[in-house]
Amino acid sequence: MKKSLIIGVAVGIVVIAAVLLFMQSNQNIGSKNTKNITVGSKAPDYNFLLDNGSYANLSRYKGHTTLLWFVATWCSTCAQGNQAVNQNYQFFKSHGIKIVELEMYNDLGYPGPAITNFVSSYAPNAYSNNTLIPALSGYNMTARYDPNGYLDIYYLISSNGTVLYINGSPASTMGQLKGAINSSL
Amino acid sequence: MAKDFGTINAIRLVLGSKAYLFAFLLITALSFFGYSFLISSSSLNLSQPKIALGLNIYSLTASALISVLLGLSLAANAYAFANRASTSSKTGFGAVIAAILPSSLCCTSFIPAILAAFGASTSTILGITGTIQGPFATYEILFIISSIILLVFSVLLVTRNIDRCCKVKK
Repeated sequence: MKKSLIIGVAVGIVVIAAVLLFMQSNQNIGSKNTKNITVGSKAPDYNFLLDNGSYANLSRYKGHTTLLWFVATWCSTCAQGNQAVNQNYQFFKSHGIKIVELEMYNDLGYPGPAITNFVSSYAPNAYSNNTLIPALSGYNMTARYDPNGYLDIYYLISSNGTVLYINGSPASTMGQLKGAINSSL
Repeated sequence: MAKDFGTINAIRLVLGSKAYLFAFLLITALSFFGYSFLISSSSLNLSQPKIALGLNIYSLTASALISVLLGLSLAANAYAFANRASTSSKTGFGAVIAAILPSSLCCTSFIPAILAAFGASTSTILGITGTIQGPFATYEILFIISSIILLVFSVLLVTRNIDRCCKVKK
């Protein structure tokens, strides 16, 4: 009885610790910095591939407040994030926000749907209204913006290229993101 | 048929005791809320509409089923142990792992955090985090179904043992 109880308690502690670690890790995304990029710093400018086959970079969106959002297309949380963005696309559109949704380099090593199919499937309204722009991120851009390997991370960037806000999982943080956008305008 | 009656008799026996009934209800409630939190970001919860706790009908059903079966399995195993009948704790344990594994290992920062804690470089993390988490994302629903099957098996196994060893006194 004692042995089973001890084993049961140990398993319970491991599970609770795992959940707490997960919650702690998620909170870190919103702690306003990653290894390289901090709120207030200049957003690094890299080329990324649009779905029409042309290359673009952040300078293309100068004059607009831009949301750079890095996802893995096999990630269900990212799909839910797209649904949340789709539900709120009127907000983003009315505030002049451009959302560039970038599939991370090599989809972080596991094949998922193409970013255009992913976006049009889970955020059809945002996509058709050109609020949400699907793109592919190269290795250097992925490593710079997501050095910790989070599946779902976004950067709110001002019209002059300054990082305003960093967080992840728009499905869970939509309220905070909207607040950050309202504060920036 | 006799086995079904044995299972029902055993469940009646276990839940007939206030202490084990309380344990069943407590475990079920805690599991439901805990698992609902985990399953809310799963692919099972992608379709609309969301009914309660941010979950759609499929996620709510899975969460409720797993919680009730887990509560029953643990309460019955505790009863069996107290009455020196054979338990099905290994099957139940396997079911719990199958249930929480996809939600814990996929689509969170848990795996990258673990890799970083072990000193993995950015290139390593970016290269393999998808390799680890991707399959759990893709086969998440299979894990959940397997968990339900394992839990049902666990309940059947332990209740049969209880019925054999601890007959209901008429």
